[in-house]
Amino acid sequence: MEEFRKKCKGVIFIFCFTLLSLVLMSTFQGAEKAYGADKVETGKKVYQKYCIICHGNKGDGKGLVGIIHRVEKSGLVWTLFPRDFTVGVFKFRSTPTGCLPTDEDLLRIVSNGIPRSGMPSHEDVSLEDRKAVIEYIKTFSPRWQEEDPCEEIVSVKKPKWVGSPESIAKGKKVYKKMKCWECHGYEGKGDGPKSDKLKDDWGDKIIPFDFTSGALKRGSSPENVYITFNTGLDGTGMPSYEDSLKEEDRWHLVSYTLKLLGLAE
Amino acid sequence: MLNRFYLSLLLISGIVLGAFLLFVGYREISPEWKQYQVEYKNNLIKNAKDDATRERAKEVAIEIRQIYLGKLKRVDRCTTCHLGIENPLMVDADQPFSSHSGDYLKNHPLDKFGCTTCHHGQGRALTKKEAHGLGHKTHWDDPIIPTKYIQSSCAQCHDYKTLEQKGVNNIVKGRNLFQEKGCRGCHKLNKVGGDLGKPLDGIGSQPIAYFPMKHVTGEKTIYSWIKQHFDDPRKIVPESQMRAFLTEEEADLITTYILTLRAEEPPREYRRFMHMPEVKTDGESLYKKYCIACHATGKISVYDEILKRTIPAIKNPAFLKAADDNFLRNVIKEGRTGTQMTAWKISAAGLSDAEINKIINYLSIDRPEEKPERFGFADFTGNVERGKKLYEIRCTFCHGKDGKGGEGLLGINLINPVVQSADPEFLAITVRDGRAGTPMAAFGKKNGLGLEDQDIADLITYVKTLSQKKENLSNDYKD
Amino acid sequence: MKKIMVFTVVVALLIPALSFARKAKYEVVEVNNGGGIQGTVKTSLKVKDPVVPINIQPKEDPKETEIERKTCGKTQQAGIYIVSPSNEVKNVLVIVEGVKKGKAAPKTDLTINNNKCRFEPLVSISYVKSNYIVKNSDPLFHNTSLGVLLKDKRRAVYNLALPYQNQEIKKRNRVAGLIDLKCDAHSWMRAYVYSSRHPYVTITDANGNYELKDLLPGKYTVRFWHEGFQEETKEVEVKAGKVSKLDVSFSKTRKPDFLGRL
Repeated sequence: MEEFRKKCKGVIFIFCFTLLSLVLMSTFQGAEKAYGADKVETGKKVYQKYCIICHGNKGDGKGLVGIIHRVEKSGLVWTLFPRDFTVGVFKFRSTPTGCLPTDEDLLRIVSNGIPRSGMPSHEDVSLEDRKAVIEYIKTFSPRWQEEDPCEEIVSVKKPKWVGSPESIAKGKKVYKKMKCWECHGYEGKGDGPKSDKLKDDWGDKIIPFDFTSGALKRGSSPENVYITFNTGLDGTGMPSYEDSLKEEDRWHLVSYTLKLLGLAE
Repeated sequence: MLNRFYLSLLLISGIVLGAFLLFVGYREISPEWKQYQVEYKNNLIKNAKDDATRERAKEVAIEIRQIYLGKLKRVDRCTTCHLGIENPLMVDADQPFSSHSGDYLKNHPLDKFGCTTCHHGQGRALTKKEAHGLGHKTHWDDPIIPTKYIQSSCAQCHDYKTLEQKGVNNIVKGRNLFQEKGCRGCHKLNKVGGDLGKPLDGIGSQPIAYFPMKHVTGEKTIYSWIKQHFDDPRKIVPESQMRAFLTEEEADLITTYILTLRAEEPPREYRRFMHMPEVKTDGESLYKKYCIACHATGKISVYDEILKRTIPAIKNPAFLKAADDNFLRNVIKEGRTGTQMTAWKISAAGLSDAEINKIINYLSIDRPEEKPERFGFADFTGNVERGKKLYEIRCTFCHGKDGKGGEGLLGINLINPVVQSADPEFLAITVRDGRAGTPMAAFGKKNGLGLEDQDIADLITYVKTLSQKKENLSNDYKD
Repeated sequence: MKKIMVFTVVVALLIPALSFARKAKYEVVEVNNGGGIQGTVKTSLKVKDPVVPINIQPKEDPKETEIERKTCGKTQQAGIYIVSPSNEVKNVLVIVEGVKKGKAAPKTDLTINNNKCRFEPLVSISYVKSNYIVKNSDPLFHNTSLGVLLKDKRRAVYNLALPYQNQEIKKRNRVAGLIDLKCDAHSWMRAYVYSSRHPYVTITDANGNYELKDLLPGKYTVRFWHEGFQEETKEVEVKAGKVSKLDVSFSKTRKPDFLGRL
C-alpha cells in the first residue's frame, strides 16, 4: 500500500512538472517571436518576387505597374488601384465593418486573385509561401499589433428559397426601401442619382457596381453577395447593412441581386 | 341511305357554306379601302361650303387609285386610302386622310415620285396591314420606314451638301458620327475597312433574312435591327465584339445614315447630285475613321471586357519614344495576328501607303523630342535558359505562360509576328524603361525593378524563341 | 496531494493568462491635488464662414426628390468658422498628448445624429471602450462612415447604412485618434470626433475658453485642432494644485477636406 502511494505521488509529481514546463514553453514569448520572425523573412522574399511590382516596396500600392484601366461592356472605364497595405483596410473580409480581415480572408485573395481587377491568382506559388507572404503583409500596418481582433465572424447559412421568384419579388421591395438605387440605380446599372459624386476613403473617384456588367469581384455566389451586405466594403461607399436589415431580408436582397446579375430568373 | 342524320348534316353544312360565301362576298364588295373612301366622300359632302362643291363631292368615284411609275418600276396604290394627301384642307384630319406634311409634294409631285420611293412599304397592297408591312409576321422585306428615319430616303437623289443647306441634317450628322466613331475599323465600306464585322455596302436594302431577328424586340424590321444593334450589340448578336457606346440620339442618327447605303440607285432623271461628298483625308480624320473605336484617345491602355484583350496605348509618349515610324508602319500594315488588330495594308483592309503615313504622322505628334538611351542589344550574348527563368517570375502574370496575353491578362500578345520580328533593341528598351502610363513596369536599373542589362538581354532572347518550335532552341542564341 | 494538483493546475492556467496581459496603454490612477490647464483660443485672422451649396440630383420618383430637397435645403451655413467679435474660436479640440497615467475616462456613450442632412454635433469627444450611437432623424437614406485620420490616409472604422428614419445603431469605440465622419450620399456632411483613452480632451466654447482638470504634475504637449485652421501645439508645465494658463492664437487657415468632396 505504501509502495503504491509513493508511486502515485511520483507519477502525479511528474505530471505536474510536465504540465508546468509545457505551459511555460508555449507561453514563452521569445520562442514564438522567433518562429514568427522566420515566416516574415520568407514572406518578404516572396513579396519581393511577386507582389512588389504592383504593391510597391513600402506596401503602399505605389508599385511600378501603377494604375490599371479596364473598360466594361457599357463603355465605362474602371480605374483600379493596387491595395495600400499601410492603411490596413480591406474590402473582402468575413469580419464586420471596421474589423481587420482574418488570415483566411487574405489567403483566399492571394490564392484566387480578384477577377475583373488587376490582382492575378497565385495558385502556382506554394501554400507555405503564400502563408508567409501574408505574415509579411501584416507588418505593413501597425493595426495588426495595436488593435484587438474582432470576435464575430459573419456566419453564412443560405436558405433553400434564395433565388426563387417570391424571394426575388420581396428582394426588389427591399432594394427599393433600403435605397440601394440611390447609388446602384433602379436597374442596378450603377447610375443612381448619387453615383457620379462618389469618392472612396482616399479621395479617388469610385463608381457603384454595375450589376449588369458581369461577375462581382468577390464572386457572384449567393453566399458572397450575402457577406458583402453584412461586412460592407470598408474604404468604399458601400456600408454595412448588418444593423439595418433582418437576416431574412438580407437573403431576399441576395435573390434580387442575383437577378440583376442575370444569375436567377 | 337517305336517313335523317345525313340529311340534317347536309343541310347544316350547306347553311354554313352559304354563310361563309356570303361573308366572303361581302368582304369583296366592301373592302377596307372602300370603307375609307366612303367615309372620305361623306366628309367632303358634309363639309362642303356651297352647292357647287357639294355637287363635285357627290361625283367623287369610289375606285382603286394607283400611280403608275414606269421608270421607278413601282405601282403605288397608297392614295386609295390616303385620299387627302394632296388636299391642303385636310391638314388637321386624322389618318389616313391627313395631307402630307411640309411642302415636299411641291418638288416631288405624286405622279412622278409616288409614295414608296421615300416611305417604302408595299405600294401594290390594298390593305393597311400589307401596305405598311408592320404589326404581324408577314416578313415583308421593305416595310414602311419609321418617320424618324425618313430622311434616309433623301440621299438616294440628293447630295449631302444640298441636304445640309436645306436643313435636312440627320443624314449628315449620322455620317459625321459614322466617320468619327471609327466604324470602319471593323466594317468595310467600298472595300476599305476592317473585317471583324460584316461589310456595310448595300446594307440598307438587304432583305430581312440577312439579319438575325431572334432577339429584336418590337417590329422585326431592319430599322429596328440596326437601331437595337447599336443600343446593345450583344443582345442582338450574342458573340458580337462590337464596341458601340452611343446615346439614343446618336444611335438614331447613325441608323439614318446606314439606311442610305443601298444597293440600287434611282434612274438618272431623278438624281440631283450637285456636289461630291466631302471626304476628310488628314491624319486625325483617318485616325477617327479607322482606329478610334478600339484605341479611343490612345493615351491609356485598357483591358477590354468585350474584346477580352488589352488594347495598347498607341498615342502614349513612352511608347512613341521607343517605337520608331518603321515599327508603327509594320504593325499597322501587317496587323497583329491572333488579335483583333487588322492588317491595314492595301491588299488587306485597303489603306494606301500615303494614308497610313498620315496616320503615323498623327500618332507621332506626341512623340517626345529625346531619344531613349541606347541599350546595345548586339553587344550581349543572351542565355535562353536564364531568360526563361526570369520570364516565369517576372512576365507570366501579365503576358501569360505562353506569352500570348489575351483573356484576363494585362499584357499584349508577344508571339505575333510583328513583335517577334521587331528590332530587339526596341524590345530591350521597352523592358528596361517600361511604358509610363500603362501597366508595363520599368524593369531596368534606373527607376525600375533593378534587373541588370544582361538579365534583360536574356529575357529578350527567350521571348524571341516563343514563336519557335521547342526542337530548334539552342542554349547560346546570339541575335 | 490534492493540494499540489490543484495548485499546479491553477498555476498552469494563470501563466498563459498573465502572458497575454498586454502593457496597458493608459494607466488609471487616483489623482489627488492634480494640476489644471486653462486658456482661450483665438485667431489673428479675419475669416468668413462660407455657405455651402447643396445640389440634389433628381430621382426617378419626383416625390422622393422633393422630400430630399426639402429636408436638406438648397444651401447650408458651413459652420467652419464660429468666431466671436473678439476673435475667440469655438469648436477647437484641445488634446493633451502622450498622457500615460491619470484619472479614469468617463464611460459615456456619444450620440451622433443625422439631422437635416448635417451631423450633429459637429465636434465631439468619445472615449475608447464606450459606445457610438449613430442616429438618423431624416426621412432619407444616410450612411455614416467613420474613419480615423492617420498621418496622410484615412482608415475605415465603421461604415454603417441608416436607411430608415429614427434608426439607431450602437457600435463599440475601439480605436483612438482623430476620427472624421462622412456620408457618401451627401458629400457636404462632415463631423469630427476625438476618440481618447484618457479624459484630458475638451472643446472650446463660444468664448474660445477651455479647461482641463486633475492632471498629474509634469510637462505636457497640448494640441489645438480645428478643421479650418492649421493646428498648433504648445508645451505646458502642470504643477500640483495650480492651474497653468495656456492661450493660443491660430495664424494660418487651411481648407477643410469636406469642401474638396463637393
